Amino acid sequence: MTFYNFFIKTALCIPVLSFPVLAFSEENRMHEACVDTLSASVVTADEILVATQTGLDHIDQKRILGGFALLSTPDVIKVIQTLPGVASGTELMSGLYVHGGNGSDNLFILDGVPLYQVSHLAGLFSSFNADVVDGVDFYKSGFPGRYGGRLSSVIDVKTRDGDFEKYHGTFSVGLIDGRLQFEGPVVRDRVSFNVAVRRSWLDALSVPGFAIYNKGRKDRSSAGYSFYDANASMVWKASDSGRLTARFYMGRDALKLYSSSQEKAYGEDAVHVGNDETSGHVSWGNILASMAWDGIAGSSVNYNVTAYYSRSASKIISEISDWSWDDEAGEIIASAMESNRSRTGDLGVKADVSYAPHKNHRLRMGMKCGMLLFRPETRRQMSYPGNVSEGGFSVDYTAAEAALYAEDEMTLTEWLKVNAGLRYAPMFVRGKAWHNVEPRVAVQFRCCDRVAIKASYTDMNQFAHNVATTYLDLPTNCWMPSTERVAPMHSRQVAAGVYSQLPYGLVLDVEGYYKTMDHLREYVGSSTLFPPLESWETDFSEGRGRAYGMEVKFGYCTPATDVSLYYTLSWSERHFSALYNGWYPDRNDNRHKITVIASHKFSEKFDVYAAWNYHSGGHMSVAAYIVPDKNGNPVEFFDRPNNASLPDYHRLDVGFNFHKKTKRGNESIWNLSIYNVYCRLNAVNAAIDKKEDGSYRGIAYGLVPIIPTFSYTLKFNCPRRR
Amino acid sequence: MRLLMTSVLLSAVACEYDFELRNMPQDPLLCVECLPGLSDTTFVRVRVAVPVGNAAADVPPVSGTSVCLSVNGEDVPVMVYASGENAVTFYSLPELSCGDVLEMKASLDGLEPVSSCTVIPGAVPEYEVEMNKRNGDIVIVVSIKDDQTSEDYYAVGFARKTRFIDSRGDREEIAYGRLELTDRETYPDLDNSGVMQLDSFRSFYVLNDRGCNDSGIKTVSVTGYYSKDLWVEDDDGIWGHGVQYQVTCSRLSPESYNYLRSRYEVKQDGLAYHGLAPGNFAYTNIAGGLGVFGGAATSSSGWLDNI
Repeated sequence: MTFYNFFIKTALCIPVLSFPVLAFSEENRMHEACVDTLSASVVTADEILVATQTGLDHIDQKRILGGFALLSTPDVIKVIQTLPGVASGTELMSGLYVHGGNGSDNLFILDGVPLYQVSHLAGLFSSFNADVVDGVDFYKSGFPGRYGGRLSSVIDVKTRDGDFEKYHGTFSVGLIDGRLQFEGPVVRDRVSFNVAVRRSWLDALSVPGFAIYNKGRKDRSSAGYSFYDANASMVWKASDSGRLTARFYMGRDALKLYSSSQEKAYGEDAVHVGNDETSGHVSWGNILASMAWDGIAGSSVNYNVTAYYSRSASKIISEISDWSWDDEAGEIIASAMESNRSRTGDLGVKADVSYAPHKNHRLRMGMKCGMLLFRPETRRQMSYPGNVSEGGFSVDYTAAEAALYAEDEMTLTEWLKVNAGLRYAPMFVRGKAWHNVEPRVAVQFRCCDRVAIKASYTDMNQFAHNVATTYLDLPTNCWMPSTERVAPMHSRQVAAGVYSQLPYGLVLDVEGYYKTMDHLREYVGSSTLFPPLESWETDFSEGRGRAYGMEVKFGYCTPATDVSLYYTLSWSERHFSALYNGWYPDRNDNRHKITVIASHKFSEKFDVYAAWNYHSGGHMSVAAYIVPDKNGNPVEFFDRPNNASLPDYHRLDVGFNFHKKTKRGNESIWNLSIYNVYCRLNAVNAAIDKKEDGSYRGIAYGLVPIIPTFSYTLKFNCPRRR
Repeated sequence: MRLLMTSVLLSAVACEYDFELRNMPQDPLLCVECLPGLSDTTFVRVRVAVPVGNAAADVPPVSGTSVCLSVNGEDVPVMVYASGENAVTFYSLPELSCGDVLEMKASLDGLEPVSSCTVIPGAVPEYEVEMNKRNGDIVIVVSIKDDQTSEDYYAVGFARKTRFIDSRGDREEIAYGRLELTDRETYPDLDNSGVMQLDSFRSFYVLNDRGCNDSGIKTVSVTGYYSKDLWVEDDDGIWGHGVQYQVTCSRLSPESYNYLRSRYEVKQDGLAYHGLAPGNFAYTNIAGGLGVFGGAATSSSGWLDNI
């Protein structure tokens, strides 16, 4: 059992039956301590039953790797998208709209460090390499006091420590990317490492492809896209009561476009030839680094201190040059360049302490302080012989943030537990101070050994605003802090449910929620991909949101078979007076959502996975009225935002894994995955069109067809030196 | 780069199919557009909006519409200016001043009556016009002095008048909206299709007061083809051609601005129109209907001589 697993079991009032060498006295071996969840990866359903926590899903690596792999690449966010209460937004993208949220109000944490850019390939894949993910805690409600800064959800991703005993790794090749992971001991039983890298090879195909295309042509073009990421960690068991961990993550995407066309000019004496050129370069990515000390003091105090740095950067540069000829001046080149850059930095230190003064009390407290840096910039330059004009805008926000929290999980009676907590989170930027006090309360009533009723209330505030003019996760988006004119976003959520662990491996949970959101921001300016940095505080209008619903989770699990059925009934609405004077549906207001997931292991050599995803269509704005102009031509008028319901969405995914053990004890796995088996072209947008009989029809535009892919994975072991 | 990225995104849509439009409005509405200002005539244009969810709805002739106007609580006469199959236009001759409160009601048998109110905005904006020649083009810069203590909205229009004296006689040609924005600020370019001026095609730029410089000056710069005046005098008289420019600057009420911006967004057919971004499409301040009833205070520079 890993060190973190020990924390989990003590956290959830579970008798601790075994624990690592690090730990404790004989008395503590059976000591039942109560605290809220610290981290997670292997907590089972009955352990969730014991906790006061609502809205929590644990996802372990087995579930991520065994689930559907889009383009044969397992992905954390794609698994979360199947869960109840989560809308996925645009197809194939890594959108997470949790309990009516906006998508940018989810807190992504990688080994305790916040992550600001969480996707590759414009959202097709997440930044989390499944080969190193140990587990994911996904919170939709009842957020523990140690989490804050986002409105809708917390995705706490933990990576695996390296193996302290032996060397082994994984090598995988797919249609889009390749992955290599390797781990092992530096000093056996003392120091271990774990390294994983991943890189795409779309550019390896496109660059020679364009070279062949351009051969012999006067007009040339090229395009190339690539992404890579790398995870590295080292763990040192310093003593029986402490360990030091260093972790590093780096990821980057780059897109390059180029085209040139030959131009001719007929001069007085000769024909002159030149080129018009257009180029674009887009890149974005993250760097994370952290150093953490986990320790045990005395018989009942556990603590963690972490120093971290997180940096997100994006850059877009476009250049155009126009060639012309003048007999007097000669060659004339007029050029224009525009660049947009955005950098976000988060540097801080945090500490958490867990203390159990009494068997009926478990205290958790902690603090965090740090600096947030927001540096977006835009530059333009136009040049013409004898004339150069430049312009641009940049802004530099440096914010100081802190957080203090304390909570007490109290076992009042054998059947009643209460977790009461408070989080205070101030932020200071440019002389403006925002103070936020966030109460967190959760109650658990244990009806019997197998059934529990829980309820929770949480307040959340979000200081960091994702400034985006589209619904897409583009590198043109940037983060900005709350300012004098932009208040932090705020949410309140109550959740309650019945959770049961039934016989024969069955699980049934029913949970409801109601959530309000204030000081939301929505772009109301002209259509553009590039957010208006100079006027972002005023070009985004303030509004409100509300969401409510019910979720049902049913599961059946045996060693060979795993079946999950999720159903969500939900509403999500918005009110922005600059757009419409009244409540209107949110674009991701999917009334019903059903997910059926089944996996079965036929043998050690073959297993299969299938998932059917259904949800009611989203919403978008289509013309509701036609008004004739003075010539009788139709002019479109709209009555309210998101007035049209798109067709229902559904698709079936299947995956097959073929395993083989090699003579050396390695394991090879061939994966065949088919996305959207029956090729339903689910709508991504819609419009209206006039029919021959004068009536109007809705036209939906579908994008994604069936996508079969395959990959090869080798899990290898390095023989131990004698 | 913007065009390339937008094209890549939009071109990804590959297949279309029909679907039923659910929960759409079923009843026709009145669409009323009126931008009362400081000119001597106030026009009100009324059309009938047909619902896409029920295009076969029984729509009465728009000529049966009646309109009532009041200024500061006192009714003013409203007469029919023009009536056609698709629209009916009324006019009224109230003497309006900045700060006047106007109310409007319109009704047509079979449709829900509509109403609205607005206030004529404050004084017409102060502005200066500067014209220069650059690289063979004429550049006109309008600098509007903005009151930074309030949120203001403006509309700026340009016209170009060319006078010809030649064998065909002495004539003038006036063209509106032939000047393009010089810089890359995203001021909208709106075709008003006769809302403010019903006897000619006009374009103007609608803008807010954000982005003023430290002195509270908001600038709009446009560029057009420069044509040097050419006048020749001989025994037969004077002949040739010459150009003059006119700038009109209006202070808009918030309703006027929001509505004109929403109409501009529809015409843009951009990311929001395809569901990829939030869209400002649905603004109206007509209770029970569509359209706008918003004030505008306009002043003109008069015809300015060419440089």
